Amino acid sequence: MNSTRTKILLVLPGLAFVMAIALIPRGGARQPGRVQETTVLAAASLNDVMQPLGDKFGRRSGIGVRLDFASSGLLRKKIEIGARADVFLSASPEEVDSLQGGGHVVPATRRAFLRNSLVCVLPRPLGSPIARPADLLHPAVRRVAIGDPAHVPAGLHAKQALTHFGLLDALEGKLVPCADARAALVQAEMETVDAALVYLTDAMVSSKVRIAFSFPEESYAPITYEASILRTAHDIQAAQAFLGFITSAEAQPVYARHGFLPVSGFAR
Amino acid sequence: MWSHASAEALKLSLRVSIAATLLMALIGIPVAFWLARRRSLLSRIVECLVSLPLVIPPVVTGHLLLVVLSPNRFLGRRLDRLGLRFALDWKGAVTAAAVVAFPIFLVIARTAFQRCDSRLEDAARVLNSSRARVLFTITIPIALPGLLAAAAVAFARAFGEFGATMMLAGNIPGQTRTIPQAIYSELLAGREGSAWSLTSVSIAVGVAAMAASQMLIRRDSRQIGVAPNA
Repeated sequence: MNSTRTKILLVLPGLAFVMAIALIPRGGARQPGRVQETTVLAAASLNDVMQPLGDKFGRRSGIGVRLDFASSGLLRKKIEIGARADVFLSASPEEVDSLQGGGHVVPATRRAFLRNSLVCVLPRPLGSPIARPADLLHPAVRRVAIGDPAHVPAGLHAKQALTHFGLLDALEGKLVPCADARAALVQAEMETVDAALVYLTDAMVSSKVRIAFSFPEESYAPITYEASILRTAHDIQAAQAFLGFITSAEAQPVYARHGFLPVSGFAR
Repeated sequence: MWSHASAEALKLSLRVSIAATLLMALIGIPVAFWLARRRSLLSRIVECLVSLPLVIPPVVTGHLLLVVLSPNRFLGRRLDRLGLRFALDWKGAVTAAAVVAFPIFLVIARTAFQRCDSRLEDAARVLNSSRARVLFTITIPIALPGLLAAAAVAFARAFGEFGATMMLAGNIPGQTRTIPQAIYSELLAGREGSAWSLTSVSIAVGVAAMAASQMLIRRDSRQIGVAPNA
C-alpha cells in the first residue's frame, strides 16, 4: 500500500523495543548492603491479617516482609517448581505434608498456628430465608461460589460440609469453583452468585455480604493453618524471626480481631 | 489420559468458539465492509476501539466486561431480568471469546474487502445492478476466501481464550470450563498427563486454523491474479 505508512509501521515496534530495553532496571533488585528481607507465600485468606502483622514486624526488626497471596494449592505448586521464597503459610497441613515429602520444607520448622471456620454468606436478601445448609437447595439460589476444591483448602472444606449434609450431589450444578478462598467472597460481593461458602474471617472483611449461617464444626475437617520455612530460604534467621513474631502472644489479639481462632487446646 | 472431564471441556470449547465465530461474522462482516470502503474519523475511532482487546491484557478486557455485565450493575441487572445471564455463564464465555478474537476477524475481513477491486462494483453499478445485487454477486463472492480465513483464525483465537473468559465466565466444570481453563485446573490439581493431552488438542486446533487460512488466502491470490503480499 502506502510505503511511508509501511515504514512507520516497521519503525514503531523497533522504537518500542529499544525503549523497553532502556527501561529495564540495571543490576537486578537485590543490591549489596540493602536491608534484610523475607519472602512469605501465604494462603489468600490470610491477606488482611498478614499485612498489618508484616508491617509491624518490619518496623520492629528492620526486616522487610514481601507477601505473596494465592490458594495454598497454587503456592505449593509454585514452591515445587522452584519459586524462591522463605516462608510458607498454608491453610492446610496436607499441602505442607506433600511439600515435606518432596523435601521442600524444613520439617522442624513446621507449626500449626491458627484455626478458622466455615460460613455461608449472601450478597443480598433472597426471596426465601437461607438459614441452614438445606436452604441452599431453594431455586432462588442459582449459583454458589466455593474455592476450587482441586487446590483451594476452603473449597475442600466446603465440599466436606456439603457432603456431610448430603447436599453435594444436588448442588453440584450450582457450584462455582473459584481461584482461591478470597475469590469466592469477591464473586458474592459482585453479586455474580447468590451465595458463597467462605471462611468466617473472609466474611468479616466484607461489608457487602452478610453471614446467613455457620456450618457446625463437626461437618468438616478442622481448618488449620500451618507455617513452615522452605529449604530454599536465603535468610533462615529472618524467616525464623518472622515465624517467631506471627506465632507470638503479641500477634494473638490481631488474629482474634480478624476472627481467627487460636490453635491451642485444639486436638488434630 | 483422556477423561470424561477432558471430553466435556472439548465439547464446550467447540460449542463456545463456534457460537463466538458466528457472532463475530454477523457483526464483523458489515463492519469490515464499512471500514474497507469508508475511511473517516469515525471509522478510525471505531476500528481503534474494537481492536483494543488485541493489545490490552485479556484480564483487563474480562474485567471491563464483568463490570458492564455483572448482575449488580445497570446493564447486567436489566439483562438478568430478561433471563440473559453473562457472568459465570456459557454466554459469558461466548462473549469474552468473541470480544477478544474480534480484532483478528476484523483485520483479515477488512483486507479481504479491500483486495476486492471497487472498480468491479462500479462497473456492475453502471450496468444497472442494484446495490444488494452487487454486494451478493460481486463483492462477497470475491471476498469469500478472505472472510473464511478470518473466521478460521478468529475461531482458533476464540478456542484459546483464557484471561477474559476466566474473569467473566469463570471456570465451572461442564458450563464454562473450556480447554484452556481445564488445562489450568488440571495443572493446579497436579494431573499433568491430562493437561498435556488437552495441550495437544489446543496446538492441533491452532495449526489446523492457520493452515486453513493460508490455503484460503493462497487460492484467493491465484484467483484474482495478484501476489499474496501485494
